[in-house]
Amino acid sequence: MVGERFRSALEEADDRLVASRAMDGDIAAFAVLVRRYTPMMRAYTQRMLNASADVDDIVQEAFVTAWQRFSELDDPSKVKSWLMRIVSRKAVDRIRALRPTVDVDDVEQSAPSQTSPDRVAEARAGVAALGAALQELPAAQRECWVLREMGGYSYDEIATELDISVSTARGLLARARKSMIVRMEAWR
Amino acid sequence: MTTMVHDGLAERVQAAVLGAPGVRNVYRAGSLVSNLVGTGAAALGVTAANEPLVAVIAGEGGVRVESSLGIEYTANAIETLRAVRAAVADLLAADGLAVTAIVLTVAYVHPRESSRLPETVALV
Amino acid sequence: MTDEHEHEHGTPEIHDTPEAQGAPEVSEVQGTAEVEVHELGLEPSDLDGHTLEELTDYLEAGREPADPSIEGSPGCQLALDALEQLRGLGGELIAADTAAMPEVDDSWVDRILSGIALDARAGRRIPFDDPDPSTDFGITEGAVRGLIRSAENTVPGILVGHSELDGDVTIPGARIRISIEVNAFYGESIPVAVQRLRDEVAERVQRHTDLTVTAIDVTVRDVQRVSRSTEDRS
Repeated sequence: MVGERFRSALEEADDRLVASRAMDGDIAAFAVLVRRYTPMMRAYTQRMLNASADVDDIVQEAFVTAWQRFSELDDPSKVKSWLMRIVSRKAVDRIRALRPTVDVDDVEQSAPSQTSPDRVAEARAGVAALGAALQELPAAQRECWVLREMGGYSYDEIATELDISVSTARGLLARARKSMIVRMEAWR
Repeated sequence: MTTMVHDGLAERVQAAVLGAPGVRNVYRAGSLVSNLVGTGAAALGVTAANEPLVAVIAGEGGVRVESSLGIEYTANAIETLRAVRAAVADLLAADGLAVTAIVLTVAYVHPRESSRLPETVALV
Repeated sequence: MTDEHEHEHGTPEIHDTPEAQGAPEVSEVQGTAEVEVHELGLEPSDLDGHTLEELTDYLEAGREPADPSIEGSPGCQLALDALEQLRGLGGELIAADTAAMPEVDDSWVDRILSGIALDARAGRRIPFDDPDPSTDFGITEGAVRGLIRSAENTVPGILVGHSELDGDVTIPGARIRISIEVNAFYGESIPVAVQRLRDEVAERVQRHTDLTVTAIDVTVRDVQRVSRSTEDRS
């Protein structure tokens, strides 16, 4: 079908073309963006929340917002990072709705010595270990780390996003890094 | 002075719009209608899930109709719009109502390749 | 979380003494580096007085300007290695998580599309001329852009991107220029395709609007390789 031929060309087109077409109101192009970036947005949201229950709602809200506020996207080729910023904001909003203030002094959820043997067996060095360590961080430290290392936020931006001081953000990040390094060392 | 308009008028107007040659579908009138509601007219048939999408507003002297359309490629847009106007005017005249204003906006033109009119060869 | 440093040959512990807070003498460092086995420690006492935060900043600054007290500290080097590895893995994590996500299915796409309002991107309203004073006929800018996009269906070798109508479209019969950005497919003749696109766009806009189009500017932004399955001609 003629229509299908072009649908797949659109599916393969660069972000700039697809996003600028979606900004013009093309639903087919918007659907391409949805297919292209849903996995990454889901992955990021899941790490921020450390849970999977609300992830799809948050990603859906992010896409709806993106459609409404497309005129704010100055450079269509940057649509990926723009979408990630929107979903990040939605994730933080959801976290704050459930827990209004960042608990800076949150005690760590579990010390390395309590890690189950199954967990240790799974957590080989590398990405899997990092993922497991991240899950064990207290909420405030995890959020800072995800914003920084996965979201690419600056310290100032993290402070604004979480409504904390820059020095608090730096402190939380330092503790997060220390925690994760120690855990990953212990699992070697 | 507002007129109480018969039940089901908006639905019948919508049916007339959809039945006009060249019209494939009707969209929510959106912001077009909200501009009118402040004039003291009664707005009918707007936007809840199962209610008609065509806005039919009763006011002095007659009825104002607003609709947002999806049209076929094969007829020129202006021809289709005039056909809708005629269909709506005929329907309302049968009820003894004048059309004080008709505001029609084409929101989408279905691609030529997806034409549904019988005289067009559909490329499948 | 205390960390122990093992020393061979009975070399005295240097970390508990106040003197250890400053940079050790060069000869001492050279001597101990050969015989000590260091384990990773992250407290200032393991890092020759430096904090993990300092080392993070140092790493993010690209280790410039070089700080001899950090570069000369084995404890700091171990910590820097760990921090660097952690940072690298962060980038890998999102890629790994993303790859592990389930396929995006049509019902998800439908769910998103059903939540968006088409008229959010409708643009300006382009009026038609009509003598009847009670009549207000128009077409949205969004609908015209859709017409322009659909022209690609009959032009092999072109994928339409952004398009603009330059001029005051709200005046019936207004003179306007159309500009269109496109991708071309590798292997197709670009000038032929572009001219064909112009003709198709002109026809469609003329059929469904009252606009006077003075020019259609087409800019090829990118050339894409089209995969096998999309090369079939019907």
